[in-house]
Amino acid sequence: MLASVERINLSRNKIDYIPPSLASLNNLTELNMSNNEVLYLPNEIGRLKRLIYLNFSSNKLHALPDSMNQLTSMKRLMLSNNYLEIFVNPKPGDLRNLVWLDLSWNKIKRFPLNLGNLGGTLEKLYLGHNEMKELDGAELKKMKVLRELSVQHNYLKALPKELASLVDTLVILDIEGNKFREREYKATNVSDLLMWLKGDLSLLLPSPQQYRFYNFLIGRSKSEPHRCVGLSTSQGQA
Amino acid sequence: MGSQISSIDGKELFLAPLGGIGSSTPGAKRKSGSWTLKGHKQAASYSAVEEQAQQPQRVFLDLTLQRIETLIPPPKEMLPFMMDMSAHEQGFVFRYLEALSLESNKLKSLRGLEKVLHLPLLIELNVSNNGVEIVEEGNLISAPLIR
Repeated sequence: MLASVERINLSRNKIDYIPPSLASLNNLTELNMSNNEVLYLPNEIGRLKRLIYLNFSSNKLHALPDSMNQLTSMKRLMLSNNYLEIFVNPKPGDLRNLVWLDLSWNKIKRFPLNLGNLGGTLEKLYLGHNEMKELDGAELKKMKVLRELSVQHNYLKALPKELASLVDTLVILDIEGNKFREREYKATNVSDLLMWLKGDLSLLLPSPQQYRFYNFLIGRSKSEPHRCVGLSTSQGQA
Repeated sequence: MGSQISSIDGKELFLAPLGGIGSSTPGAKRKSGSWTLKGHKQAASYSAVEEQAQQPQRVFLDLTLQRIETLIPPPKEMLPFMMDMSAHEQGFVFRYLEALSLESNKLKSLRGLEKVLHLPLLIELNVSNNGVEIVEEGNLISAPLIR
């Protein structure tokens, strides 16, 4: 008899090992293993074709099996707070339903390879609190439906020009706590932040008049570190 | 028929929605995500008429915060959900559970769980916030006896 179980929550335990027989739960759609001590995932995890939600946040993962690319139903993949240095390298068609990817609080030094291959569906990408020095503009440009991009607390010195191509979809961009060049991020309040964005990013826009771009940018000011500052969306106003 | 709340040794079991026991069938239509484990207080205010109209009947067993340390032998709270209980403590078989919460107990092992996992109706299992240290190979697959 095949197990019918669809949702399993084993979060907040002390589990360090996931047996390959996990793949026998072939009706599984949601698996929450967050806040455990898992060191690695079995390659068999790629056989869970119905898996929609997978949460291994706050574990001890150093790497991911390539088979994760085969999780074709996956929509929300939560891998924050591990020791990951790289993400899987998705080919076109891999993870083809992924909407939400959380890789924050890891050890990622380089923008994940070929992440743009997820661009047809990916709406939320969290890469904050990693060690990236730059974003891959070419890959970002492929993300046609990206609504939230969080890259706060990395070592970024600049934002790529291609970010401007996300003008029609991006709602939230969190860039706080990076190492932008001196002339750039010196904002202490919302107005300063706007000025900085205007001075830096208007050059990147196809048309400098299209300041609608600014309206999609949300940051956190130093004076209000815990408040996410949202700007109203009205075309033509900075 | 209304929602059924029974009591064993003063601990409530929530068999819900109404008429849950024996009324669910393997072929019953399921609306994924339309239900969750419900606490006892929620059970008391359950609107039987509304629920019967909105979704199929299900059987939830909420054993959250019951200080359960092991599933072998099965805790007494599970007795109404078992059949063919033999003198041998490993001979039990569960039946008709669709959701089981063992959240915030004191489990260190998942031994015994395979009996639950292979119930044909089980949809949701919550064992969060325990002290489970390892998921053994046999915990997730069918096994004739637990060794």
